[in-house]
Amino acid sequence: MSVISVTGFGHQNVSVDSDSEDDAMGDIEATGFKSSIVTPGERITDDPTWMRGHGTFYLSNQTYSSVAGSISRVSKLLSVIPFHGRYSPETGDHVVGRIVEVSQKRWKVDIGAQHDAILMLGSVNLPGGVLRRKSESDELQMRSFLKEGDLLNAEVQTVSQDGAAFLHTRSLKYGKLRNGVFVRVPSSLIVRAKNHSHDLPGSVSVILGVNGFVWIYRTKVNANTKTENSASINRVSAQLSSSRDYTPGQGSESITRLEEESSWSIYSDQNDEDFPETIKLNITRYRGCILALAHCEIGITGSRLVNAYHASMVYDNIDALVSNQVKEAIGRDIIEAEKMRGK
Amino acid sequence: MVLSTTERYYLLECLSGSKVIRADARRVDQFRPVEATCSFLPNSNGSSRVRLPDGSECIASVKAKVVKVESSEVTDLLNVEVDINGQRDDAEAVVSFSSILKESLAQCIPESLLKLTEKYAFELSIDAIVISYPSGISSFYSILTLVSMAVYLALKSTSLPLLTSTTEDAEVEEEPTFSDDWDLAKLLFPKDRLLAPPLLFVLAMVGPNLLLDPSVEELEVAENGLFVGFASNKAGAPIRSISLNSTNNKGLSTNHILDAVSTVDSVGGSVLKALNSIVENSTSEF
Repeated sequence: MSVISVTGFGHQNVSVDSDSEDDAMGDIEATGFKSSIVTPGERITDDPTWMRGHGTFYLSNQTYSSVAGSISRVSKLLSVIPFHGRYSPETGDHVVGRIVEVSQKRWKVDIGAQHDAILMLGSVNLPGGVLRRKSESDELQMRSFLKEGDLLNAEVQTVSQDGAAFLHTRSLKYGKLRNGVFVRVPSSLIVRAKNHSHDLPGSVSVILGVNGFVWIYRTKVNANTKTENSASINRVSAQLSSSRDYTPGQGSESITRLEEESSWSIYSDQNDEDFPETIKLNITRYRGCILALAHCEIGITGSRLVNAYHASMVYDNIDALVSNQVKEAIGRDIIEAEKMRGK
Repeated sequence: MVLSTTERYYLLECLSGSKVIRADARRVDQFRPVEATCSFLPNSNGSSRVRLPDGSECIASVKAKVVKVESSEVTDLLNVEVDINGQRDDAEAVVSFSSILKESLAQCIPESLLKLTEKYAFELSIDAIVISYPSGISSFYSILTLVSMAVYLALKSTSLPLLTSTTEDAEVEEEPTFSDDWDLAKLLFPKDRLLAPPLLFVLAMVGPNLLLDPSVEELEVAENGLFVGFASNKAGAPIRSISLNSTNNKGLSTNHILDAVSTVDSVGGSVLKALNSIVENSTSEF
């Protein structure tokens, strides 16, 4: 077991077979561009019929690239998607962010974009359920809901003209984050998908924010016991459930559950009381796996993460995941496995 | 870096338990992987560049100048300057880094190493620049290890031109002359001798545990910090307690200090070995 690894500069990347990239290249060649990858200032085309999108600029009838990236065209719209760079929010993105400022009726949230995102007081679930009205006292005690440094997951509701995102947490799957660790990877590595929160083997869940902020946490204890727990907090409903009689809303979930869970507990700053060591180790292992994928510049998805986790099981001690060779070995394993399955 | 309350509790719980689980999967006495290179500056006698995975990077250079010696103090022949990007020259961290490094170097470098003739000696100018560090860093002391590694590598790769004139010039009026063949240049720290520049290790204290090479998150929850020197193959002076953040500070116990010394004692050797292999594998291109 080495204490330290000191290596020279420059790491070799895991070689990715570029079948798919070749296809893309062929596609572009048909359109008359020299290559699908451009550098800043490189001329893309002199055909003025193209519409110029993001990452391009126009000078004396010629279109140039303003970033290093790959050319994308949607009918007549020509844009360059940068390889790296800041995350640019889009409506509907599931993001993880950190509160940086509490101001008048709004929180400013760091989501790794050019501007801080804005979360309005009106866009969060307040304790007391859906039918609750926002009052002045809520404005005064905004810090008791979310304060500087708090992590939350949210959805981008709209993006303003200058690129600042407006977030909302008006769903039970969004809100304050607990029971886990935070890790940041380049946002370009997060593959956009329908679902960004995954339950993984080993009682660990993960939220892969589209902005590259990732939250790894303990899977919530199953929904039924959870409802009972939160029901017992609410004394009235506890009494109702103890009596055998039918109670309105019993068995149905949606709104009543929202009502119950929208108690103060959604803004609690407490982790679970009994937190088994094995789950903590699993969380750390997943964190290592995410960093291994990022190190090899492999796009991160829920299923790849599970594969990486299984590949990492070869190493009994999680401290092996620190070394770059191990990270590259895991990356290679995943690519090999996907090739075998013909992806 | 501001952590959320739950993040902080989780980290504290993981780090202060009987089995320490560090967020980045390291053991308590494990370093982050370091990238380093030597002798890359053409116009200095020795140079190095060291980088950590969190983006911290430090460049160090050693330049030698022949001076007439009046006193026999080593400290007069050493100029150590540390610069941290974005920090004023009189900032606390900058000033204390310079003095800590100078003191520990003066203890390890014997006068005979720099002495050229009876009248002349080499004066070393050691400059280290921290060109980047993580944005939310709560204490600059955490990059002390990085700076000391850079200085170590720069000094280890320092070569000085071969003296061709006589070493006994007490009576004769003669200025020293050197061979202009750099292939004949001698290393300041010869490979066959045990003599080596000192290293400084930073440890963070969380509960009863000590963590070597704390990461940014660990600095945030650390209750106290220590740095311990490592020279001539054993841990030793300087040992000093440092505060790694401004929020939670607790006292050190004697056990902590003894633990720190024994940890550094046990890992120091392998760190030196890893760094030396970089020096040996680097070839000067100039």
